[in-house]
Amino acid sequence: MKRLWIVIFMFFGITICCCGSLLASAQQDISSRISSAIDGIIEWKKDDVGSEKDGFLLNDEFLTQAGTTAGDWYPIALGRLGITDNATGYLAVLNDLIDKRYATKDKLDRAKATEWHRIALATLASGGNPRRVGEKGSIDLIADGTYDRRDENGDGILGKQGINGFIWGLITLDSMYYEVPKDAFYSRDDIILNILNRRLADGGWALTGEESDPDITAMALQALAPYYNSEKNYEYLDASSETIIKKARQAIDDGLSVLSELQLEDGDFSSWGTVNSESVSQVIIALCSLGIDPFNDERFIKGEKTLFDGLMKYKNSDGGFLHSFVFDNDNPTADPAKSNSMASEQALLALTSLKRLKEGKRRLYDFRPEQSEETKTLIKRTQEEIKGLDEFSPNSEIQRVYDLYNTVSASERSYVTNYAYLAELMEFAGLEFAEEEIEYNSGDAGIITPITYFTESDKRECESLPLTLTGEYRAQVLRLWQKIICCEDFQDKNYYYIKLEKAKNEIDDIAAETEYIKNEIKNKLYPFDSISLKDRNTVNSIYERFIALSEYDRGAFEKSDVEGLIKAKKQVDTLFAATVTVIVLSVVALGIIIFVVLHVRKRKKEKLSRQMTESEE
Amino acid sequence: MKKDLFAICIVIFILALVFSGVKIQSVDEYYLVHIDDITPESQTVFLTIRCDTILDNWQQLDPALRYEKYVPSDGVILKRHEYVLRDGDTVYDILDRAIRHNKIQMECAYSVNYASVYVKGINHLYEFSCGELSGWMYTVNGIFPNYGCSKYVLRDGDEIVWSYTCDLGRDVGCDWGMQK
Repeated sequence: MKRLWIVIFMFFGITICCCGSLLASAQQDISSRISSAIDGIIEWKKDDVGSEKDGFLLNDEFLTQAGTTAGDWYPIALGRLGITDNATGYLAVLNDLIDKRYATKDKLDRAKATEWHRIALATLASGGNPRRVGEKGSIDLIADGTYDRRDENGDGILGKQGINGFIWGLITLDSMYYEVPKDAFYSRDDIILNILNRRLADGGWALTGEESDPDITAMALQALAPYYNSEKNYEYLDASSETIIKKARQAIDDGLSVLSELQLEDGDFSSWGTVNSESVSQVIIALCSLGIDPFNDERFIKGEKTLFDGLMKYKNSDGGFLHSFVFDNDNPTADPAKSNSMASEQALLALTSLKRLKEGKRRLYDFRPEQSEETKTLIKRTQEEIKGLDEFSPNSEIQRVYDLYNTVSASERSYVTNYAYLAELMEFAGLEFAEEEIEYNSGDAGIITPITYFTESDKRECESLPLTLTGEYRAQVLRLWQKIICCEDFQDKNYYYIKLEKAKNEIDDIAAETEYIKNEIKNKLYPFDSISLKDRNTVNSIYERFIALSEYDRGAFEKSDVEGLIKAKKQVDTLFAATVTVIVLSVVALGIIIFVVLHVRKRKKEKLSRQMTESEE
Repeated sequence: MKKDLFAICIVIFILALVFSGVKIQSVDEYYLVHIDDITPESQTVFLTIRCDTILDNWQQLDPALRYEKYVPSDGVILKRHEYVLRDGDTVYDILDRAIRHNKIQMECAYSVNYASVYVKGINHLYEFSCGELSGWMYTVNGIFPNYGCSKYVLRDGDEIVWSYTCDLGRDVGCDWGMQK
């Protein structure tokens, strides 16, 4: 009998162990699938920019894309993955670029506030401070790009490009929980209200039209995520222009229902008529931002398919991700069988979100230092306590758990993922909510500028720079320059500083010269038919300056710039040659005429004198 | 006497040469300089650039752009004109040549994401200059291709129109947004 029990016990024990390890291995399996998908994208992109497997993704070729939509999202993802790569180099080029663009009238852009947002996030992810950008550190991308985004008349233009301006403005503002000054043009609530005001009838969002779009809805939720636990009531207009009062939480829940409705049976979504991978990537980021595990939420599991399945469907054999499987007749170049840079970068961000969620790290766009173990434990305990409540719990018990919730610092409470249930019980029990006051980061608070060292290999790089620089060395020089500015003191610092300052000035001069020549070509050499001999000096001087550039820098010109210049040069040369020929020929003709005239005259004279001699005779 | 006649002949020849306009050019040079001249054998395409939708959305227009030089009163930035089509020319190549020839302002950027040139602004009119759904779109023979202009290779006789939309294409006859 006893032995039977032992057998039964052992059997159960083994089963339990098996189940436990199965569960653990399933978790591990998911984590390793996430990680290998991340590695795959990074490897694919390295190959795409011509970098070795162990080289930088943000290599010099990639750095030419710094500050553009195509460039900035990769370093943002890398930064959030904790991969350093060539972040210093990226930051250096970005800084230089911002300086130059800020020197123009429209700075980063006349209409698109999202230029500020994306660049600010890329700066943060690369270890920089978006409030002190540029060589002098005088540019504040946060103020200029969010709460003080105004035109020359002082009108607010955060939303000039539409809802994206508000969504990304809010995401940027909350990236470091930046404080909005009292005299700012937009308050935090203004921005939130602008997002809520644009809700469609079904509770979703879209760039335009009445139908909710998964991408924009997901991005709106990413922006509103930090406000999910806020008890603040927002008064705004719904789709039929009626005033409604709702909490951010209610709007977010509506948005989630919309996304759940829109999800297709493979786990992915369709946007603008195309079933694609970017939409599901954005939805994954939205859910992770809200602390919802996409693997467990029934709203987002269709049949057997999760959002993760919906995304992995697009993984290509080379590691990159596809945009869509649908072959578009209108768009034969978007090859359904080829990895796509935008699809891959958004998949990378989605996978990064999942990884961070699994590791208990902050939201994708919450760049504040990670939570302390103490905070994490407190949040976990609060969540356990909330889980222990039900509708039969006495008010005192609910109040106790709520008090515990309030011991979590206000700026961390959005990470208590099941607070909504507690709030529901509180309301049902008629208990009072406490005032909540989030402490935001004013000024530069919270930013740690990393100290860098000017390494031996940096010194070697400095020494191996050629005597005459070309644009080819731009990224390298900017990276070394940024490093020498920020690095700790060392013995020969001054020597390298002077060397790099000279190099930096040289590449700046090359860039300015290139820009000048391009403008001269456009402004002075067209229309081609009107080029005449009086343009000869102008054309020659532009041509000489062009020829004086290095081969690499000449290669950076547009094909049509070069063509325009060469054509104009040929034209003036031909005209000049023709003029010279005409003059020479005219002189020759004149000479001959004079010769003939003289000759005729001479002969006449001779004839006359001959006649005279004849008559004398 | 014979000598004189010969000299006079030379003079006449030289004068004829001078008045006919001498040009000393190699064949390559001649070809380069005259590449965009329309001859009976040239293949050609037509290009128009217009922004008439702005006239109906004047209030949305960036106040700094509310001038005739940016938005002509007939809404036409570049009248329909014929251009020589070179081998392999894309929509962008023709636009670029026309813009240069007419000294119209344009700003473009190469986008890795679309592997194509993206036209940001023409004649100082940019994306979002006239409301949040505004920007440049192009058609070839009346059809809106769903991809970058430097990927569209043209054929003889193609009709290109660049139009500024204030409503994500709907006001210029594009129905992408309706497809579901």
